[in-house]
This record gives sequence, C-alpha cells and structure tokens, in this order.
Amino acid sequence: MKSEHGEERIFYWPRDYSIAWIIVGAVIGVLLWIATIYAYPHLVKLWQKVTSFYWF
Amino acid sequence: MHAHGGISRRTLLKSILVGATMGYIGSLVFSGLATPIRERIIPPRTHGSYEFGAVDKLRITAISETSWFVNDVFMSDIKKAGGLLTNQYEIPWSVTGVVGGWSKENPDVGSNEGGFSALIEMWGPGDKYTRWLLDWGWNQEWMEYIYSQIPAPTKGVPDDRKIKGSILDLIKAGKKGIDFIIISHEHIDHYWGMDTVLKYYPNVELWLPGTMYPESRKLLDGVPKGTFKAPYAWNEHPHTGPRQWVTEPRKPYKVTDGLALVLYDVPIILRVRGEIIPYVWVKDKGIVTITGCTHPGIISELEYAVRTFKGVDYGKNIFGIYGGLHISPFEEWDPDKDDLVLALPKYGAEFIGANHCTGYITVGKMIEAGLPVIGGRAQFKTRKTWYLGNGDQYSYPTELNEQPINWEYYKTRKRVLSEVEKALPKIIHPDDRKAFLNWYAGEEPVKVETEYVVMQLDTDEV
Amino acid sequence: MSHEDYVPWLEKRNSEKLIVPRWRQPITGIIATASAFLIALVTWYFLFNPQAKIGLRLYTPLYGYMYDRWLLICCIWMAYVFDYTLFFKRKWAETWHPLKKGVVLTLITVGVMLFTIYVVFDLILGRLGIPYFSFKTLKDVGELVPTGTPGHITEFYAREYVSLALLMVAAIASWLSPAIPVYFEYWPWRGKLKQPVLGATILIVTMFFTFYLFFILMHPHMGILYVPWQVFTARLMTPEKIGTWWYDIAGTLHGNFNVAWIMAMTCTIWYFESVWERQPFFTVVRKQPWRGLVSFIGTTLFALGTFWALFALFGTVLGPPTEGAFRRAGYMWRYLHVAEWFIFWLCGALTLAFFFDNWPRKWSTPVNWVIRNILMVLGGLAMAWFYYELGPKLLGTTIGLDQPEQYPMVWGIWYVNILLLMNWFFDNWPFYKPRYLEKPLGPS
Repeated sequence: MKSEHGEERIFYWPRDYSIAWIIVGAVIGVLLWIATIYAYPHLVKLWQKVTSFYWF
Repeated sequence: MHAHGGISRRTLLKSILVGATMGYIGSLVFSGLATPIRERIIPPRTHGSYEFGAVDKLRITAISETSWFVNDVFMSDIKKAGGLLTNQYEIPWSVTGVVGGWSKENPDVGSNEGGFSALIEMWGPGDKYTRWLLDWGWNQEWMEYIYSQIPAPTKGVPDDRKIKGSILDLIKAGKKGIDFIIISHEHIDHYWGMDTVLKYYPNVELWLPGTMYPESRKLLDGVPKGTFKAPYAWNEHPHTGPRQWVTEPRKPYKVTDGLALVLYDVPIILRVRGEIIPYVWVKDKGIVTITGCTHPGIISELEYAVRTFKGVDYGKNIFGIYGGLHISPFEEWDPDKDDLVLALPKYGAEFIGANHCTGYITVGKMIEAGLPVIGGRAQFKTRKTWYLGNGDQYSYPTELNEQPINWEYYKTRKRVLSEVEKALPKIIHPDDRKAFLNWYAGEEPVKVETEYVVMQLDTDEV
Repeated sequence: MSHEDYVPWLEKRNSEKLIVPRWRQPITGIIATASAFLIALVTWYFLFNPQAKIGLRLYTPLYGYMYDRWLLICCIWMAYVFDYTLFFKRKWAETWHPLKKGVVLTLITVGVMLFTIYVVFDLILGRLGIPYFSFKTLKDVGELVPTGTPGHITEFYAREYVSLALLMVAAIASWLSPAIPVYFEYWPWRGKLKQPVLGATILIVTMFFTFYLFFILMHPHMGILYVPWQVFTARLMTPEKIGTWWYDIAGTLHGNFNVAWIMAMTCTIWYFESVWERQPFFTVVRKQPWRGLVSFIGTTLFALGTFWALFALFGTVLGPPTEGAFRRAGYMWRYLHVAEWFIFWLCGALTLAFFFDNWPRKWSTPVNWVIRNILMVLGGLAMAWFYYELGPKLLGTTIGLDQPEQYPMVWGIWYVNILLLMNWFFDNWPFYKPRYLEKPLGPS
C-alpha cells in the first residue's frame, strides 16, 4: 500500500470496517467475557459429567 | 447487498465480529493483567462452622514409623518394577539379605520392609478414655516384633483399661485394649500388616477409606500367600468385625467427641487412591492432625481445617501435627517444599512430630526455620533423633509423657544461643549478658517442665 | 516489500501450494490427524511410557520431558532458523522426495539434539562449569554427601535435576528462536545474509538472550534444589527477605511459574504463525521492524493476560490458592496447569493448520480467524479429554489432575513434535502430494 509519497506506510487500517459497529461489537465482547467468568464453574461441572477423572 | 445506514451488511457483521473479538480478548487480557480485577474474580476464603467436640488430653505413641529401612533399596525395587506408577501389588519387594534391614534372626540384615503404626489415646470428655491404632504396618513379622517391643503406655490410663505389657498385649486384649483401628490409606506400609493384628483381634472395628481398590478390599476377607506377586500381600485371618467406610470426600465424619475423619480422594503413587486424615480437637488448644502419609499435603489439610472447622484460623486453634508428612521421602527436594516450610509457621502449630515419609531434609529445614519440631531417641531402627521415631511419645499435657521430650527446636535455639554467648565480649557485666540473651532469645514460647529434661547438648549448656 | 529475494522454504511451500491434499478435505485431514495420533502413541510407548514392557521408559517424568523439548527446539532451528541449511541443502528441500527428505532431516535433527545435550552441555559446560548441566558430574557431586544425610542426591534425582535445567534452556530458546523468523521476518538480516550464516547469526543472538534469561528465570530455582540453598551463586535471599524475585508476584519459589508463562508466550507465537496467519498485527503494520515490535508486544500482552486470566478462572472452581500447599491447592500447580492448557490448544492449532490447511479460508478474514480459534479451543478440549481419560491406559500416565508426576505437557509437546516432523520434514507425505516434484522449480 503506497502513499502519495511513493514509500510504504508503516500502519495500515483496512478500509471496509465501521468504527461505530466495532465499538458495539467491543461492548458485546466485554459482556461475553464477563459471562464466561460466571459460566465457567458450571461449564466445569458439565465437563466433569463427561469425564471420569475426578477432582479433589 | 443490503444497505444499512450507508454500509453493507457484510461490513456491519465484520465490524461487529472484529469488535467483539477485540472486546473479548481485550477484556480477558486486561482482567488478567490488572491485579485487582484478577483477584476479584477468585472467590474469597471461607470459614467453616463444623464442630465435633473436644478431648481433654491426648497421647501419641509412635509404635513404628520405619516403613522401609534402606531408601536406596526401596527406590530400586520400585524402579525395577517400572517406577512410581506401578501397581504396589505387583512389585517384588526386597525381603532378604538387605544390609540395614531387619529379620527375626538378625536385626541388621534381612527384609527392607517394616511398617507404620501409631497408638493414640484420648481422654475426655469427662471420664471417657479412647484408645485407637492408626494403621497396622507392612511386614507381618516386623509388626509382631515391634508391637511386642514397645511397652503399652500406662500413665494416666483408667484402671479398667490399664494393661501391663506391650502394645501386642493391648491388641490381644481385644476391645479392652483397642477401641477401633483407623486405616489411613491402602499403601503397602500402612495396610498389609493386618494379619498380625487380626490374628489376635479379628473383630476389631475398622474405619476405612471408601476409595480403596478391589485388591485391598479382598485382603480384609482373607487372601492366601502367593495370590499377589508382591510379598506380604496376604492375610490368613479374615476380618470379621464392623467396617465403617468413609466414602464422601472432603466431608468430616465424627467418630467420637473430639475425633473427626476427613477423606481426601487423591490419586497416590503405586496405584493407590484416597487417604483419611484424622483430626483430633484438644480442648483449649485446637486441632491435631494425626496422619499416616499426608498425601493430600499438610498445608491443604490445615487449610481445610481453617475453612471447615469452627474457630480454626491462622495461628488460632491449630495445636499440632503428627505423622508422616510426605515432603521429601526419597531425600529429593523442590522449591515448592520450601514454599511449605515458609508457609507453615503462619498456622501456628505448637508441636510438629514428624516421621516416616517426611524426610530428613524437610525436618532439618523446619528446625532451621524455627518450627517447633519434637524429636525422639532414635531407637528401634529409627535413624535420627529428628523424628518422633519408633517407641517415642508426645502427650498433652506433657506430664502424661513416659519419656523425656526431645525438643529439637530448643536444641537448635539453645545451641545458637550458646554460640552467641561465647561471642559476647567478656567486659559486659553478667547481668547485662543475661538481659541481652533474653532479648536475643525473644519470648519464651513454651514452658518445659523440669522433670522432662531437654536432652544433653553436645556443646556447652546455656 | 523491498528485500524479497529470500523466501524461506515453508513460506514458499505454503503460499504457492506446493503440497496439496491427496484426497478431498476434510478426509485427508482426518486421516492425517489419526495417523499422527497413532504415530505419537506408538513412539510414546517405546520411548516414554513408564509402564511399557519393552521400551526406554523415559517419562520419569523430567528425563523424557527434556528430550521432548530438545527435539522441539532442534526442529525449530532446522526449519525456521536455518531454513533447511543445517547439514542440509535448501535446494534439496525442493527437489527430494518427501520420504527421503523427512528421514534424513529427522536423523540430522536428532543428531543435532544429541550433540547439543551430550557435548555442548553434558560434556563441556556441565563438566567444566556448572554441575547441574552434566548428568555424571551432578551425580558424583551429589554423592559426596553420604546417603541418609540431607544434601545427598540420589542418582535418579541427579538426572532429574539436570534434565530440568536442560529443558528450561530449551523452553526459553523455543520462545525466543522463532521470534526473529516469525515476528521480524528475519529482519535485519533478511536479504543481506545468506543461509546458513543467517541461521547461525539468529542462533547466536537468540541463545545469547536465552542464557541471559535462563540465569534470571531458572537459575535461582536450581539453587534451591540443594541443601543448603546456594545463596552465593543464586539470588535466593537478601538480608530483608527470603525468596526468589518472583516469590511475591507468584506466591511460590518454584521456577515452574516462569516455565508456565514462557510456555504461554511460546504457544502464542505458534498460534500466531499457524491459525492466526500472523493476523491481526501483520495486516495492520506493514514494515519491519515495526511489524516485529508490535507483534512481539501484542502477542506478549495476549499471552500474559490470558495466562493470568485463566489462573483466575481456575480459582473460581478450585477456590483461592494457598501458599505452601501442594497439588491443585497451591500456586505452582495452577500456573503449570494454565500452560498445559496452552499446549492442548497448540495441539489443536497445529492440527488445523497442518492437516486441514487452516480451514476455513472462504469467508472474510475476521470470520475465518474467529472460527479457527474456536476450532483450536475445541481441539484442545478433545486432546485434554484424551489425555486425562485415556492417558492412564494408553500412555501409562497417572490418573487424576494433579498427581506430582502428572505432566501433560510432555505428551502435548510430543504430539506437537510428531506434527512438526510430519509437516516440516515429511511435507505431510503420504497424505499430501508433493506438487513441487511434478514440475521442477526454478533456482531459489
């Protein structure tokens, strides 16, 4: 990707994204992580049901 | 292509996805790196409310802690059979010709195998007196020998339970001698010696870990010699008494006032599973862990007490530790064992009677760290005085002790103090010297009654 | 970019699709994965399985772990650092049949490994310099203290301690060695130095940093293994405080804390190189050395953040860790366990990249990226299930999660080694066809 000076730019941001929706997505992402933290112990219990190796 | 406020649906979805990914990973990374957030994710320590009564007095007699006599031979037996993960019932243990071992004919050459067993006596509440065995060893001949050599304690025993003679006489006396036997785990050196006891007392009440493998359950019902590849894995006298199985892990089972058992469902080397840890609560003093091998880890066991038993906290109501602590059994070391030695003081135990699989490196480090280690007399093939060894005792209150208490901790401190005193210049007035030494020694932790004298030191006495 | 006369073999092979699946995907991928698994299991049996009736039984566990890790770093040297010019000719990579190429490269790599372990470390550095790098020397010194006295080191544990030191060197090297080829694309020497001089330069630079970091990260741990602590050669205490420098951060004196976060960083490089296809950093940054710096810093933040976040997640199930406790109740095991999960995911990542051509590729970049990562996580779960559920029977390992001898990383890295051998040396033969043999390539 060349700039008008004919040398390469160091940083390049792909064009076809919308900042606004990225931010919306980011909020969703953060909420998903928080949900993971709460869901994790339940996921582990589920995992224990399909495995026979026991926990302490 | 759908327009949505001027951008295509593709762009919209891509943007949301990129944003969600960045948000998810970004918040994940941030919550990991930002210590306050990370610490909030982990739930806080809990404190428990379980009570199981208390006893007034306690006496522990280490009958046998020498499960094997020569470490190198023990390790090489295991290694030759395939390592620490081999099934213990298939290892051909060294039973003859071991220099440093024991046999009836020659106390210095013979089998490498001994066994672990301890006698615990509890007084209280009221007039109640309970006497129980922890584990019954490995080599049946050695167990018969050591049971017959260690005298049955009589000091303070109520008349209707007093039996003169040896521990073997206690066993022969049935219920009058031993109330019940707690089996900590099915390891060779704690479990296979059953024939010796069952020969005389086949209907003894047993407390057993519910996680035992089938071979170990079979042993109780009688297994002829030669069934299993390993020597000593036999029992010619089936157990006919009541068997109490401790089945639920991490749940306290109250046996009697002041004695609770907790099963830890841990996998253990040599294909063994689960260990019971007895906790005794001594009135006004707190819990004592009396363990066979402490495979779950002594800190975990103390931490369990802190989080489960009412009134137990760091430095509060943690009285003592007895038994094999399994820290450096093969004289190996690792920094997490140093973690343990550094962390142990905060629990505030007032005595540590370690032996068996604890390892001398560990006990040496504990003594250096100033932990209240009780030693012994190094008799009956126990190697060093650092262990509460074969035939040694510890009791609370200390009047009940039938032998001198060897406060290894004191020996070290007094040795240090005597060195310091020698180094002080002579011009200091003797009263100032004394004041300086008192200051250097810090507060006196425990009064040692003069009858039970600290053993003679090699260096000048203080 | 301006300096493109040098293209490493793997880059060329992958970008020009010089190997293609023999059958339709995902059939090829499934067959290849199953075969890799089988090969890993069989080789594990004869080399590592501690319960094997015939075999070397190297899994003690650290002795086998050491070989495992050294094979990994030697593969990386061969394929990434030296680009097939270490006792080999780059041209042969493009002209030899994969079977012949694979066998020869494997033998060379094993030879390099044995030379490094037994000559560079055991024979010279350990014997003349630091005893814990030499099996015999540490055993001899350990026997100066008689058995039964604290300070005696049995032969078995002498070997374990030496293996630990050696594998730590390999671990740090595995983290740093791919950094220049992957993040920096061989900058600043690309196009200016030719292989194998280029490789030797990268090797020297990376090993310099490896040893420097080894003494900061692992040497204190080695100093604690002896009685008494080697306080004059390793920084283990100051007058004010007892403990290694990481004791307050980690809650443990154990060097496995450092092993664990280094493993997290190492695995991240390989996620970056395989399923992430060097995105997003390479898309956003276009010139070296900025590409390299941003990637290095970005992946480091990712690795460390995920490392700590997982540690916290484990805490939600296991409760707060306790200082000085063993097994899962303590700090050390938890750190190591986080690293073990990174390795499981690495198994998933490399399987997807090597045998499934980094599927999917057909959607837009972020969608592909997210799907690949989800598949990687699922693959890791499958590997973890296999290890803990079937490991005792098939691998001879112990049951349970936190037995002191439980080291899932050894199996995980062994599986990765097999994958590397199959993909980097054998060009996925016979599951992939070597198109470069069908028509001769120009001079490279």
